[in-house]
Amino acid sequence: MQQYSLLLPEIILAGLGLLLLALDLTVSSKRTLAVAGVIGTLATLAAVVANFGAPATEIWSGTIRVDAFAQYFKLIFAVILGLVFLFSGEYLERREVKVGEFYILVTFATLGAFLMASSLELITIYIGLELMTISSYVLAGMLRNDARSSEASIKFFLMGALTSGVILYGLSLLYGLTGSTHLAEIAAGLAASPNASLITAAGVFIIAGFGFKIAAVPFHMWAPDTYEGAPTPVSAFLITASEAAGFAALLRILLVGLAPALPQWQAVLAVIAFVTMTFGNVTAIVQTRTKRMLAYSAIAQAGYVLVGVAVATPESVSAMLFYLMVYAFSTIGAFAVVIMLSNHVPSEEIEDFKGLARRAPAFALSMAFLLLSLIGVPPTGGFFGKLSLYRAAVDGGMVWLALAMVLNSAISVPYYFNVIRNMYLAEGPSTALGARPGLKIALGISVAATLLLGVFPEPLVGLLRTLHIMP
Amino acid sequence: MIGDMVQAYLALSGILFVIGAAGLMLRRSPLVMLMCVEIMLNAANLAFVAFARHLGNMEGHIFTFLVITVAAAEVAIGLAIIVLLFRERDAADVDDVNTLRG
Amino acid sequence: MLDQYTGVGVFLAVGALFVAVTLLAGKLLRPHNPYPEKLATYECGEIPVGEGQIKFHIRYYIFSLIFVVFDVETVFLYPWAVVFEEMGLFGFVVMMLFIGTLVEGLVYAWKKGALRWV
Repeated sequence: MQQYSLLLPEIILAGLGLLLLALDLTVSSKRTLAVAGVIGTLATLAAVVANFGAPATEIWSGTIRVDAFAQYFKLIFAVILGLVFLFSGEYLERREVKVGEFYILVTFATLGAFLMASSLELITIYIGLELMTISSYVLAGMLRNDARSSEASIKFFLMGALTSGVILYGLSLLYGLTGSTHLAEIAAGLAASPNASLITAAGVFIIAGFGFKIAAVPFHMWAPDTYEGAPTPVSAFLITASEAAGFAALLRILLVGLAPALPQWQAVLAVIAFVTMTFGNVTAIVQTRTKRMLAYSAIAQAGYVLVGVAVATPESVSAMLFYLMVYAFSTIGAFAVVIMLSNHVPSEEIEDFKGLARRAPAFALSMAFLLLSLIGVPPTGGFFGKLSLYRAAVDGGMVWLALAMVLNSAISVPYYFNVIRNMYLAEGPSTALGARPGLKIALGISVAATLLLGVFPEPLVGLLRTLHIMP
Repeated sequence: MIGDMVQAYLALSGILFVIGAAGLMLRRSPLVMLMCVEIMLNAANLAFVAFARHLGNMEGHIFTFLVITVAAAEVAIGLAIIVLLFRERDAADVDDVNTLRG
Repeated sequence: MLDQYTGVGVFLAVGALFVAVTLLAGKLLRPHNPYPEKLATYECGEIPVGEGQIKFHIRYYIFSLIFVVFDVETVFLYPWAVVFEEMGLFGFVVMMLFIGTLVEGLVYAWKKGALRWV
């Protein structure tokens, strides 16, 4: 029975999805669904935290692996899911989105992310990936009376389907080379395999495939369109949870499965990281629409996180895990403010932020704080996360990449500050703006977490030191 | 005999994969692009089954089963999105879908 | 190696020849006397209405989508049926959970009106 208690987070989450499906048919008040969602997410969180102390275990013939690495990612996903439940309601009702379907799909997408993080087995990783992305395709197209939403959906779908074909082909090569679908056995098989060209081909397929998923340049072209056209809560979910899940699977496959071939890829990954952060930051400067600016900012942030993969030392991995947590909170919080604003001003232009400091002072202050965290200014969590990534890159011998990170943080200042300038210095309408309690709670949690991770990073850093990606 | 065959199946799967990928990049009708995705997934399936026969273990077969199911779900969703797109702007061509730019 | 395929080659050649010869013979022997009714599309004796190349109603897609998804899931029932005896009660319960999940999905689609013909 022990295996079921280890699987409890997934079981609760799947149960929540099925429960929401039933509730959507029987209950007329959509707020009930959100409340059920929050309660279910809290239960999932409790189950994840309860499993943290347990030793790393593989169950069901090695298809599921429960270890601290998986629990850490599940913690991130569950928190994001809870915040999405909290802040989406008003936006969805105003835009006439089918609220029930939204909650159901976002729950199942999170379940897919859970499965991706908690396995060293290719089949489970693939199923998790597809569960997450297929749900996301629908989520992106949920604004039925907005042509941009269905455009976001079809672009996302075609690129995503191409990507899963590419990843799948890479996985089939790994299986053929080693005769196993378990990453630990694949690593052993590859170390003994003489077939260098096929290993390289598998590596190309997998890095290109996951490069699409995490929107790394040059595989990013779908991302700005999808993140702009999708409903704003969906963009927030995709930019944080979906990207973190991509990183979880990429880390496992590269650092466990492809470990024998990793040195030949580090330089390539470093170049991808550099190009991704630079391109994202430079392009974000010229954007005038809020979500598009945040989309390019997300691409740049993915570049920073990729530094952790490219350096590939235990320190760099724990630095990027820390950064992913901070990034999730800062971005979700920023999106909460964007959602609040677009509930009142649907155009979602950066200009809409004009005068927000007078219209909703608390929201403006939170937004400014979260943007400072995304730039990496102390005392925010973003500062500490970038500092540890920077240190890991220097220690790992990639000084040029560390310098590129610093330069890029400088490049990113103008577009984040543009929002802050609009909020505090520009003249705008003066009607006061408000939001439902759920959104306020979500924003409060994000700001508090970002602040805590900046001021007291030690507990999390200590936890991350004990956490091993290798079996 | 079987040993030689795996090469042939792999070559076929490689060709199928390239056909699918090329079609996805060159064709502009979303329906045809969807079919190209299916060709790519089936190329990978063929490789899995060929490897599983060659290696004599079951994982490849299991993987193929699951990929077939996932592909069905993917097609269902893809067709639904395409239907939505047709309903909205009668676009038979992805080049017409270009509101989002920048 | 090649010998094994000789039979197949002969079979293909004879097959192709057979089709060509019979079609040619028919063309040479048959009377040639067309009139409009003969040229019309055969529809089980009914008089054909409209064109053959029409746009199908979008509803057909919805039904076929639902069908495809449930159809493919039966793939998992076959391996389960093969090892049913060995899996015992555990296998039965797990499969019922699987089917139960599918049924809930079907009920959802049904209640949401996806199966209604409008």
